[in-house]
Amino acid sequence: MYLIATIESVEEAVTTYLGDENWNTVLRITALVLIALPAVYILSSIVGRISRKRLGEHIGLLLRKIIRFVGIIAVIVSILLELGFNLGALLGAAGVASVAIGFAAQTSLSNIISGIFIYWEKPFEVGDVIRIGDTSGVVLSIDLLSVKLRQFDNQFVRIPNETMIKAQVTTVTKFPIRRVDLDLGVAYDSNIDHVTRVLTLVAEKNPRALDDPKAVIFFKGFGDSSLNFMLGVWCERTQFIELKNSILRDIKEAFDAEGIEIPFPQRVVHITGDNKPSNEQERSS
Amino acid sequence: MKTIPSKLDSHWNSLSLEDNEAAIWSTEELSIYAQRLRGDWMLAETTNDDPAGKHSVRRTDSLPLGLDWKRWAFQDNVADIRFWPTFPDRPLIVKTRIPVVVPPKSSINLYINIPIWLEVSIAHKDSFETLDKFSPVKLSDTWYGSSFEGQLCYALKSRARRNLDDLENESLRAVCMFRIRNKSDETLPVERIRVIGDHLNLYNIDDRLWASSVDIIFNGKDEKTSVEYQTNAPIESPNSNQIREATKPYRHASFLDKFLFHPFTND
Repeated sequence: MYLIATIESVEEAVTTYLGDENWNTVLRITALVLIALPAVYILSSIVGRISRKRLGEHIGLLLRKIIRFVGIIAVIVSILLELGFNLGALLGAAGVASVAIGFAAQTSLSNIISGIFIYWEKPFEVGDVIRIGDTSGVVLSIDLLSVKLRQFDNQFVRIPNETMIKAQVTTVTKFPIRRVDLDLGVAYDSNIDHVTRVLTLVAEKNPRALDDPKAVIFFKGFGDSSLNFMLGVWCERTQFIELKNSILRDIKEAFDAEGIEIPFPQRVVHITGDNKPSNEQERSS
Repeated sequence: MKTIPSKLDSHWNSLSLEDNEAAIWSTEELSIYAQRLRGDWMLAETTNDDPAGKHSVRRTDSLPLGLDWKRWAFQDNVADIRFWPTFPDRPLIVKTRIPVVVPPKSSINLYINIPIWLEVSIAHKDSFETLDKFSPVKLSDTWYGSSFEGQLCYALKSRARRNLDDLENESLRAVCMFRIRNKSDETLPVERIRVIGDHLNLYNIDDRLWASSVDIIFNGKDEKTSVEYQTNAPIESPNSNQIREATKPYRHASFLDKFLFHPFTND
């Protein structure tokens, strides 16, 4: 009995305080917050999901954000109108403020414009692995101001869009196959044809190395301590690390089995007449 | 729907295992252990290095320690497990060791041994449910397509015999006959053939596995090459025993297989 009386008294107090008209405004604002905002979120999620499937992760994310942003602005404008604000004056003030903010936020504007170029050009998409300078990672999101990456050691990196536009960006996962390039040095007494044959066999025997495109082997020239070769082996891009690990092991085993020496850096020392070394001997691994 | 037998020979076979009982399927290079344990099925794979090892399936009491088991939990208690031949899970790119040239207006047959994988399945509600597939023969990867797009396949080198008698009879291989007809006025060097295992039926003829044959009709460099997977038993034994149906039956269509013949390779 006491509780009902309390509710009735509160209702009466609120009605008296707000009046019928104000009470309707509160109801409309509540409805906007409780219905329109969730509707915006649901609509943006549905459109995002459908467009992600049909148009890709990149466009899906962009559409979802645009719908959410426009929807929330519309809800805020509606609430302000309900509260009786004069939007003309507000927008005028916002215009003046935006000029001031624009001068203060040149970097942000540059990032936004760069973001639009990234969306348009599509050099990479969400989920791609990219490398920019010394930073490599998986693209988590492409936003209006920045691109977010997750590095392989699980660190979060935010790169401003302006930097992305100005710098050289490598999209590691753009194409389905990749080449593992290995620089190798063998002792000067090795037979070049023999080394080439052994490397060819190593590439052929590794099941992760693609049979086609064929592995490439270059004799690069004469190094300080070794004959230098380059072995380039193709693999499906997800096999890159596994292939690199396994083929290095295969090369070591094959060179050991075939008696091909991987030399240490070395220097020839001539002993002059006074039995003093003309050059200090270096041997290091 | 044809009736598929439950047993071919000693190594393609079904077994009924009691609870806590185990079986082993082994070749020279691979052993697969299966164990029924309190209603669940467990599978483990180990590599062998025994060139003289026998290819067989049997019950076993001794399970090696340290096996890396995979476990399947079923609502119903199932006792029957089947070790059955299947085709690799990706297409094969068959390369002839020496390119074969087919003169204009002529046709040839090529016999190629296609690697067979092991499929382990259990009898579940009137059908077999696949637990896992294993590759007894390690195949190298290869790429079908350009460096921008394509498909990961397995590479297979073959002598591509003209006569069946010259083809080695290997237990983990299925014979596949390619009928190649060159209807054009140009010579046709055959270097690579793509075979999609999903389109092939599997047959057992006198304890030898056979795949359904593939017809390739070359109409000229600028015309479409027709590739058709046959659905009938091999002509060598029309009444042979079909032991596996194509998982994705070939639909009658013709397409230009750009990577089928050397002159059209565009990479």
